[in-house]
Amino acid sequence: MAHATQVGLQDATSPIMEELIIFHDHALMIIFLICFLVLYALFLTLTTKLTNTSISDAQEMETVWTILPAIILVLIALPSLRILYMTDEVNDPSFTIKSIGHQWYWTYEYTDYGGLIFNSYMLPPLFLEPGDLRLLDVDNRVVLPVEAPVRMMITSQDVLHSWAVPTLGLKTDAIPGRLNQTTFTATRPGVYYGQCSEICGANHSFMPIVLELIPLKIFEMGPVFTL
Amino acid sequence: MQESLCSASPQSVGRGAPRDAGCALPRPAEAGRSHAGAARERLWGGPGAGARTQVPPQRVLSWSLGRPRSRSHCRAREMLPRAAWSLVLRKGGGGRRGMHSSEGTTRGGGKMSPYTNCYAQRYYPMPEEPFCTELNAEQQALKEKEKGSWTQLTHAEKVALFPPKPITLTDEWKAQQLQRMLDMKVNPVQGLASRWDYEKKQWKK
Repeated sequence: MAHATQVGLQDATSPIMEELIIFHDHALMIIFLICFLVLYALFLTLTTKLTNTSISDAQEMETVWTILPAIILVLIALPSLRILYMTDEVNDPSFTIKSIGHQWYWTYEYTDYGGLIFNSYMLPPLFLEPGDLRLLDVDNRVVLPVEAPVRMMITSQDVLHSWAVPTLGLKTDAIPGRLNQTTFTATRPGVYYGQCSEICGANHSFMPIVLELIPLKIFEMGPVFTL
Repeated sequence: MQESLCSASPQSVGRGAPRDAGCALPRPAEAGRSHAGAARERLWGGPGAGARTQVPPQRVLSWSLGRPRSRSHCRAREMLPRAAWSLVLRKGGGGRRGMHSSEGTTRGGGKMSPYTNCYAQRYYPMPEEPFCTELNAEQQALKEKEKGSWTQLTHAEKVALFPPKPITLTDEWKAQQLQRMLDMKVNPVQGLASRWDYEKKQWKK
């Protein structure tokens, strides 16, 4: 999750997110360079004492400032497409979970081995224990194994929603009447937060997503722990 | 110090006033807490869950609060989880949709305080209702004054009319929250937890 004044991306919990962070740094660096160059040129233009009102026919300059941006765009596009296709790789998920968006909560279905379906509601402020995260904590978290490819099938019951977990680099729209698929492999155990990312009504801000990633051995043990 | 009044804004209900606010709001009977062990228990159900190998063709009743479900609950349709939830709470019947009152359908009817109303609907945690509906005479007079021009309100009155800050913005809660985030090792690579020295229990120099 992000701390209060965080501006940058959260740390990656999946390999795809690591790639996305690297790409983000790469694209941001190019953007900063271009902005700096343009601002410098603007500054020079505004503060120069030279005057020449009859410039014409600057073919070389025009060629340079056409070819150079094209090269920069190619430098941005190649890593971008690489990551795009990486997210679509078939990695034989070992576990499938369905996530269904409602107004204004999520339903999760674990139907691979046995049947488990539960709703995940945001904890209202009165229900919070000391130290809990307001508007982020839920009553029932999505418990998942670490280092196992997981397939999420996401859809919606009523209106558009979006199932997003930034630290895993996931954001998938929940569209009524359509089943969207996303896969991920988490690398670290922990609790990871996300929020609904498509405006869906009055309580769009109050339907968070919480994943609890636990080691695979403990996940497989299943009904061992009791309250 | 004048107690904070609440205006009817969507956010005001969620602004947790100090727990001993002017109106005696009923404390929830049980809070659906989720800790790792409890979540695992809810995931797999109690002992004997492994024996349930057959999934009925219709949806299984959703699990809330980790309560073990008996076989009789296994005939579930869309609305049943919501009705079952309100039965669990023993409040409000079928929730807003099931209520029939003479006041119409806008406010869900009845003199229930907003917090009991929203218990019946877990999916609507912050209804657009005033935080407190029982105001004393002084507070009532201030609400009437608010209906006029706001330039006539003093600074103290404006502060009193403003919705109360959530309890989660107090220093004590923020400290507990930070401790929880460090325990969860939030962003341990380059973020928050990476700047905390877990051996010496202090921030890294």
